[in-house]
Parts: sequence; structure tokens; C-alpha cells
Amino acid sequence: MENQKSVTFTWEPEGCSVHPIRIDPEVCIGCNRCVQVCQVDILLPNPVAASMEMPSGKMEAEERSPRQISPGGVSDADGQTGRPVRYGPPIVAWPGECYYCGCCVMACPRADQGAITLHHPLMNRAKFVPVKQPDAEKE
Amino acid sequence: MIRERNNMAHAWPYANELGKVDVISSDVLVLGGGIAGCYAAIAAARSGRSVTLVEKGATERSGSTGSGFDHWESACTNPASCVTPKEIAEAYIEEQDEYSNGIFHYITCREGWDRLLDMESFGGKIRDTGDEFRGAAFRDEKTKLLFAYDYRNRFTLRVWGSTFKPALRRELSRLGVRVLDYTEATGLLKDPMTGRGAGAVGMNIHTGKICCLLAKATILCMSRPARIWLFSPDMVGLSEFRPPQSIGSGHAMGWHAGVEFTLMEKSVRAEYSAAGRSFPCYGTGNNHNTWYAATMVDARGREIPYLDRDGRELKTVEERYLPAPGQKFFLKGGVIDEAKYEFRGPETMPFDELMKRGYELPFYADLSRMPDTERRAIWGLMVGEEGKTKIPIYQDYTKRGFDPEKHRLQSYGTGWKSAAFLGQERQLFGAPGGILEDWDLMTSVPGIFAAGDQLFGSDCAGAAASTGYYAGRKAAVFAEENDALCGNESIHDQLHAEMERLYAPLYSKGGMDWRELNMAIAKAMQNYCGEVKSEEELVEGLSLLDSYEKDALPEVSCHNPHELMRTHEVEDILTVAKMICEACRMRKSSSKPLNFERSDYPEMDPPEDRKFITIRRGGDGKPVRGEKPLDYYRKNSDVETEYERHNADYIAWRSEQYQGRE
Repeated sequence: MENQKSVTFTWEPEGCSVHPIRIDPEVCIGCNRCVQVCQVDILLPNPVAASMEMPSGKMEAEERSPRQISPGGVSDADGQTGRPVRYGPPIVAWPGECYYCGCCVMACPRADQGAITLHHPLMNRAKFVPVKQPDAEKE
Repeated sequence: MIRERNNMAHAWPYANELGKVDVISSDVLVLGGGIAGCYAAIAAARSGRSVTLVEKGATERSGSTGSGFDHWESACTNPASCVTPKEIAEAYIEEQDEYSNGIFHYITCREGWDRLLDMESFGGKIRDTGDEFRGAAFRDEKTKLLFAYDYRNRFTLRVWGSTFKPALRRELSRLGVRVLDYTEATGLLKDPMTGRGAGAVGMNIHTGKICCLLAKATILCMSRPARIWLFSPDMVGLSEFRPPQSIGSGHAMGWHAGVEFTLMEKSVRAEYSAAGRSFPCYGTGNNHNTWYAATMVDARGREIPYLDRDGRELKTVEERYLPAPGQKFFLKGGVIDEAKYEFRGPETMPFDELMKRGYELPFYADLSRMPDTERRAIWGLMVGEEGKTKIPIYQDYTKRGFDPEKHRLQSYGTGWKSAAFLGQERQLFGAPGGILEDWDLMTSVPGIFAAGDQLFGSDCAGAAASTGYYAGRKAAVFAEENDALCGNESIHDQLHAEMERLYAPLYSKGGMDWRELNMAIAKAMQNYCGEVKSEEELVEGLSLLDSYEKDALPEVSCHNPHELMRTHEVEDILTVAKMICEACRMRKSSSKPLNFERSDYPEMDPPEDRKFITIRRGGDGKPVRGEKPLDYYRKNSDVETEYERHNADYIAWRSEQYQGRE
């Protein structure tokens, strides 16, 4: 539709009682793998470029050239330098829509260092207790 | 609720492609990129057709099995199986009192093993190659396959389902399938001249771009409906069992295109919903499905007995996985609740009897009392590979200190459902209604096929794979035989009407949030289409839903394509809710197998109503009632004969392709 009336897209943080996905900005490398695999689309890529310095910690070879989603999904490289642009940690824009499947954690190259973690709502944390031998056997 | 953008609003990080239209032509169009959709696309691509697959999320991890699944049911032709496809398919039909999709079951039983071999060739893990379970009672030492439930007959496999979706995604790329991720399918296109399916319309949920997807054959591989009776506006993602975006848009699209459905009057009291009620799926002490046959204990640590179908107490863990004396096989799995005597497997003593005998709540699953291989099969393999368990259960509980050798996990409620629900809190579960199909898995609209959860009486992931592949190869043949794409000009009006509908909430000044409408629909359905139904209430409910469509829907406002997608979903939920109410009006008696109760027609299952009642949208928009006998797909014949009559080509191809592969 050539004559589609234009609209400026915006989003705003959602009021929600839970925070299912937490991202540690000190560990996250902004590769956006979590954004790419979330089937519920609760994450947004961070449009703000982060410093070119990678976060501290052990760096795997493949992390040195992380796959990027740039805002708008257009270019992976800085127009002037041609170097990959690294963006800040993704944003959990719609926490209430989280399905708690954990695919974002499964996809994260730094999950073992805690870059992204999943947290059940407090009420949903099932209880476990030490095993018990039958009372009759003890007596 | 008036919602205005304020200074909290942020810029949208994706491109704005509002009004842009991509026209994409293919031989076969697949709607939905879950297990069924992936296999459908692979089959069509193997037949040499050009294929486009449209997925609302990211195909790599989307659908009900995106994060994994733990068991593949009814792969009856695997090399260790002691049953035939006909035996198990007919058992399901009988178990479901013939309100059963025999075509779907037979295809699953006959072709499931072929799809597992495919999966292995794509890089998915289907056997214990690491010998972690060597010597276990459920392992076939020759093939290294692992089995669940009935260890004697060996037709349901334990699999490493978390490896499956990425493997399928790679295979789609290898075959050159065009995959459109983050694109919602919104409406089917029909050729105005022939009435045949002509493709679909989709919208990119990041940019708002429209896709006009022209195709010679279209396959609906989307979800069953959800969020009809159950909705949490705060924790939308936990409203139902399946992913929150899987709400039945394919059913709504089929309805608008005139596709015929059946059993839409069937619903069950909710079994799974985590929104404030249940706990995380597979994350509480229980002994069903993934956790079968866990040792259960009461509060004092007293072990709860397992009984066979004759009430005989079983002494060993191994007996829980064996048929009773004189029984050939038993059925367990996704849609089997309390099986008929003939197919009933071992089960813990009934709850009421336990109370009489002084067992005390709460109960727990205590895996420490099981043999090591059984414990590791439940905790580590099944819990770990089942959907939503690797990170949310296995890793999360392990981090919290859970050790299956040292801890017992609490049960909530009296069974595996982990919560008690009210009668009016309903779900489409337990082989629910859906699209009525023929032996080509074609719908009543020529050129539109269906598979997986969109078919009536649908079941598990193995069934989704089997029917997906089957629909894919049948659609490929249809595309070859009907080798003409519908012209751009003939669908012009349909496309533009759809674009206007899709974009409308961006221009609405009403200020209503989509969640407010979803909540209202769910409440209306609980009030007017609850456990016990009546003509007056259903008519009242339809009138209320009509008013929501006419007055509330235009009030919903959106500010970006993500919110737009959610609003389209609610519009589809509204469509499906109305279809359900109309289908309920059409069955004028009550039915036990359909969990269907009417206060104005209390007679249970009168012989004259033992049939499929079908529903479709007529040309005037009004619902049209139809009927099919329960054996419509095997009349004067049987499922095996009918299958072989329709699949001589596949049977020949298969024997060449899979010869000698175990």
C-alpha cells in the first residue's frame, strides 16, 4: 500500500509482577542469540552500541566475532570502520509473556558464566525435602 | 483502560516497513514452523517443489517442542517393536470410543519410525550412542534404542528431543526451503474462480511488513486453540500449557476460509496452567508421562503401591513397565488418562483408597528408591529432554540443591496435574477438536492441507512429525497436478482487505490494551460455555462475544508490530471462541467421551448422536452443520487397507530408502 498512513513505532516497559529473565551486563557480550531464538519474542535487541571492549572473563574464540542483530536487522558492521558493532545487553521488553522454556539460556554462549538466567515466579518454586525412610522401618 | 504513550516510550529498534508488501510465490506454502511444519516442508522439498515456511517465532526453537521433548509415541515399526501399527492405531480408536482420528493415529504408528530415522540423519539424537544406559531394562542392546512405558512391546521411544528443532532447521536450509521467521500467518487466500486455496497473507512482527504468499498448495501446521477460557493478563506466558503465541490462529484462518472442523464442542476441565495455579510443568512430584513410573511416597515415607489392571499389587519397579498377565500391551502417554481395562497399564492405587488406608498428604516422588538406570532415565533424560525442562527444571532444581538420590519432590493436589481446577476452567486437551481431513490430509477446501495440532484428535510430537511429513508429500503432489498459481490481480481485494484489518489497531484511538479483551473473552467463556452448557447460555455468550467483536475490538490500540501481533491473536481467539459456542449448540445431547454436558439435553450418548458433528463457515458467514459417521475414514474397510490404498508410492519409496536401517 503506497499510501499507507505512516505511524512511528514505539514501545514502553511493561508493568509486570515477575522478572523471569535476568541478564548480567557485566558478562553479556551482546551477541543477541537469546533474541534470535525466543519464540515468544519477549526480548528486544539493545539499540545502543556498547563499548568495543568485550566484557572481562574467559573469552572463547567464537565470541570474538559474535553474531549480531543490528537494530533494524540491516547491517552488522560499522559504516566507517567496517568492524562489527557490538550492542548492549538485550532488553526484556515483555517479561509477562515469558514461557519459561529456557531456550534463551540454552542459546547463550556465556550461560555458564551467568550472562542470562531464568527465574520462576516465587509461587512456582516447587518444594523438595530430604528422603525419609518409612516410620515403621525406624520403629 | 485508556493507554496513552508518555515519556516512558522508547524508539522501536527494528525497521519500520509499514505498508510494504513482499510477494513470494512457491509451489508449497507451510504455515507454522513447529515439528509438523518442519517435516511438511522437508517432505515437499524432497519432492522437488519450491517451499516457503512461515513461522511466528524462530524456527530453530519454536513450537510446542522448541526446547525439546522426551518421548516419541507409537513408533510401531522400529526394529525392537513387538506390536503392529494396526494394533496400536485400532487400540487408540477404541480407547477414544471412536471419537478418534484414525487416519492420524495410523500414520503415526506406520511412519513414525521413518521420521525418527530422518531425524537421526539430520543430526538429532535418537539412541543411546554414549552407552549411558547399557544394561537397562528399557534399552535394546543391539540398536541402543531406549523405550518408555511398555518395556515388553517397545513402541514408544525415549529420545533426546532438545536436539531436534535445531537439526530440523539445518535440514530446511540444506534443502533450500525459504524460511520466514518472525512472520505471523494471518489469513488464507482463495482463488475466487476455483475456490481453491491460493496461499496466505503474513506480517513481519518486527517491522510490520506484509508478505503476500502465493502457493499452489498450502499446509496448516499451526497450533490448537488456547487462551479461550484461561488467561492471566500479568503472566500471559503462563496462561496455558503450550507457548503463549500458539493460540489457534490457524483454526481462525481455516474458519474464515470455510474449512470444515469437528469435535469443537469437546473441551476438558483444565489440566495444565501455571498462572498462579499449577507449578512448572514436569517440575513437581508425580508419576505420569515424563515421570512414569516414579516411586511415590506419602508424608511419612510410606511407599504408595502400584497395581496392575486387576488390582494385583506389584512388588518390583520393573513390573510397572510390563503388561498384566494375559495382556498383550498397554497404552500410556499424552492423551491416555484412565485407559479402558483392555489397554490399562500399571498405576498407583486410587487416591480415595489411599486415604482410606491412612496414607497422608503431601505425597512425594522419591527416585532414590528406584534402580539407578530408572532414576537417571527420569531425572536427566526425560526431565532434561522434555519441553521446558532442561533449564527450568533440571538445571534450576540442580542449582537449588535438588539431588534425586537424596531428595523427594513434593506433589500438589492429588495427581499429576499439580493443581485443582474448576469445572468452568477449560482447555482443548486430551485429543481435542480440529480440522476434519481425508486420507490426503487435505481439508474440505481443495489445496489446503493440515497436520499436527491443527487436525482433530491430535496428540504428541511423533504424530506431528508423521502427519506433517505425510501432508507435505501429498501437498507436493497436489501442487504438481494443479500447476497454476493464482494471479496477483485475482487476490488483490483479499490482500488489501487483510492489510486494512491487520493495521487497524495502529490507528485506533480507543486506548484499550489487547489483554483486557483477552481477559473478557476468557471470562465470557467461563460464564456462558463452562462445564454444563445450555442453549440459552450459549446464545447469550455468542451475543456478548459479538458485541466484543463489534464494539471492543476496534477500541484496541497498538504502538508497534509486536503489540499488533498480540492483538491479531486475540481477534483469532474471539473467532475460535465463537466457533466453539456454535459447535456446542449443534450437539443436542450430552456425551461422556467428549466431556460434554448439557443441562437442556442431559441424555448421555444416545445412539443417534454417535457421530462426528462438523462445523464450517458458510458463504453468508453463518455456521453450517454437517455430519460424518465415526468410521468415515475406514468404512467397510480398516485403517491399514485404506492407508495402503492411498500410499502405494510411499510404500515403494520407503522400502528402497530405509532398507536395512535399524
